[in-house]
Amino acid sequence: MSPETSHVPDLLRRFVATPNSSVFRIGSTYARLKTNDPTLADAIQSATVCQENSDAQTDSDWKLIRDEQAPCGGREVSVLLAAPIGTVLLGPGTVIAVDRERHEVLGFIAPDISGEEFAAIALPLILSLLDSTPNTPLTE
Amino acid sequence: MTDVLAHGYRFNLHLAGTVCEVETNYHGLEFTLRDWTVGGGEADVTGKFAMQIVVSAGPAPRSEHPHFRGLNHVVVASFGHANVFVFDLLRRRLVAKVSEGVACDPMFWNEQLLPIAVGVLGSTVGVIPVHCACLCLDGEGVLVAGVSGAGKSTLSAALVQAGLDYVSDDWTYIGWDDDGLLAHGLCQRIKLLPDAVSHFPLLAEHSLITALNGELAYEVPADTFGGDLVRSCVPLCCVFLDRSTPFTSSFTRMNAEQVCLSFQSSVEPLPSLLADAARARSEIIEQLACLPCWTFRYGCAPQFAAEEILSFLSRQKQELTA
Repeated sequence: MSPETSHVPDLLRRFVATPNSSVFRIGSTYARLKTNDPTLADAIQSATVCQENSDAQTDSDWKLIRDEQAPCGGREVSVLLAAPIGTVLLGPGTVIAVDRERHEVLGFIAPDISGEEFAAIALPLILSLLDSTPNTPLTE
Repeated sequence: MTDVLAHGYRFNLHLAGTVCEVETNYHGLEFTLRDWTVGGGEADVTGKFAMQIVVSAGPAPRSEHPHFRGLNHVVVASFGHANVFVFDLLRRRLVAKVSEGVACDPMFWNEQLLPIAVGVLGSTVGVIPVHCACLCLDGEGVLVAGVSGAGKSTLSAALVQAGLDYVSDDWTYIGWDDDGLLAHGLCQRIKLLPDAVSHFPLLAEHSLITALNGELAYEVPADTFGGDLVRSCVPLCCVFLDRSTPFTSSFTRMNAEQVCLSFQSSVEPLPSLLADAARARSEIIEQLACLPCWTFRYGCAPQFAAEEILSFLSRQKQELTA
């Protein structure tokens, strides 16, 4: 069953197209970012170091969806950490899961969180989760 | 950082043929989930998943309107900032933080979270959510399928009034048993739209509430309509509802391909990463398609439609045993 053959709407927004692909450098590692929002990619690349060569070997895969339907309001931040997935929550509509075993960052960004806010608030938490060991016990 | 579950509480839930191994820091959660802590033996278990729940102490907001999102193998459901559930479909695990108010609310778990948990993780442990009601007639399961608005819940209430036992009215969880398929129910309340009060005057004694999908509806215990609540049964046939012109009532046999297409078109697409779960789901749907299935075109009151279904199934049974 593919998204094309199902009549069920994509309520989870699993299959949103991410046409913008880029590679950026964090310290000595490389990450490939796929997103539907080029301004998000710009903000992350400004906060890190942009890598021109998009064919570079990458250490982690990021998929960030600008979620226009997500609830807005509030900037409360919390992190739920359980082996091997850590989750960053920013306000009621931004959620980013970091799978430390698979080196994947998967997230939805609410429309009221600018790229700069994402880079300033969520990005350091994501990077710190990626750096932590995958078998960290459940913490809050 | 400290491991909040290092000295926690552990117990098992028996949900729709699966075992859910719960770990929590809150002693009261086992009491909240007590309806599900006693189940069949391990032999009846299709698969297992884990649930780790951190309860934040102190006053905290109760659950709010849910927000769901998913990418690859991760699904997140948040009911306000204080109540967040992260599903990991690859590792068959649910991790959550909830407020004490939610941890003590059996309605939240019984009517929302546990059905959602089995709905999201089920296909990874061999139990799939199928968009149909399930009623039990003399111990034999009758699945009642149809698109949203076809009348599954209204007809389920009428069938329970007519003496059938209730398993589910909207989502039925189907897994394997030693002898074939087994249909399970999780919700014990029937959701009926406000206009159902014209067919079921007893609804006037209940209040309308905002359902999970935002609709205004009655959500009443199924045994309000008589009949018994049954957790599971063997599905033996399926009726697909098709609302038609007034006074219509006719049954048409469906072939396996039609049944397969009908069920497949109502299941959520899964990412390629979860190919095993998608394959397991297809196998169950193919087995469902082997059941005798009919389209029931009707345009009559639910009580009359229920009588039509019962007499039709009775005739089918007589023909088989003749």
